[in-house]
Amino acid sequence: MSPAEGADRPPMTFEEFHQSFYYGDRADMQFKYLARMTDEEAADTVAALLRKLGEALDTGELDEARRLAFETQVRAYAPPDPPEPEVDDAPFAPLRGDLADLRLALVSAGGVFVAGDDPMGPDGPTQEECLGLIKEFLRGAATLSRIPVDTPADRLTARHPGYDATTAQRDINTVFPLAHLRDLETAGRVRLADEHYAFTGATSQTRLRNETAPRWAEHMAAREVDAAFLVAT
Amino acid sequence: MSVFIQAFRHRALQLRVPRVVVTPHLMGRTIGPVGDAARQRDVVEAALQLLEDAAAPNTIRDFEAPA
Repeated sequence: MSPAEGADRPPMTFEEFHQSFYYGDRADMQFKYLARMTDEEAADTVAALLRKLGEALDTGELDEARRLAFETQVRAYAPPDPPEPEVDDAPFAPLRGDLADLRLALVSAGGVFVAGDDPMGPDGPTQEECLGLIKEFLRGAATLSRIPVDTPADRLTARHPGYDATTAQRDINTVFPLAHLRDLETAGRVRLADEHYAFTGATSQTRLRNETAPRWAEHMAAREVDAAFLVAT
Repeated sequence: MSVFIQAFRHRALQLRVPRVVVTPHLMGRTIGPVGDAARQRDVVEAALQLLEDAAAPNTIRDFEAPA
């Protein structure tokens, strides 16, 4: 919504303003955490971010703005109490042998796929469109994108209703570091599988755990994958 | 092994993920900032090192950039 479009709308409270960052009129996956704050916390955060942005305009240095955004994001998502485990086991497979002898697969929850091979079909939603489909994503079953090991970074893209995937579109290595793993394979540090994977982590967690992920694990085991490098987003 | 951002460190604990590197990055940049190949590479190396080192489940290591 542009400022001009907003001119004809009725006045809003500050609460409505910061809540609107969470899938509202001002949906913004970078700053949706503002909706988790009290009015005072959100006001202080917006003011501090603007102050750091103003400084950055003078200095060209974004480190302080980035640090503040990081610290406020961590505070906003922190649970009020120490977290209790949600699962009853912690499976652990000790590493057997040298890393360089194991077949390693990259698995990202960042919604990455090969351009032109959209897991939601040729008319799959854009990043902007998928924000309006967050409920459908959270109810649905995730689809696994299969990405050949030699896929150039500029052939990869991403879409995700839970974070701003335009960041990954700018640099896919932020959530899918296949290019770095290829470099490490060239250096003899790792051995890569011929296929790597991604899915959209904003999905039905029950389906993921009970149905989808076990099927994916079977697929990877059949391709002789020994270890997985998992990236959460 | 897995990589989580600091904001979701508690989720790794809740899910009892076997091996986790926690990075001091913003959401959507788990491995590192846009264009910062050196940082991204260091995070990948840290995760691989954890895969080699971890001897027990729920091993969580906070990423520290090399000096």
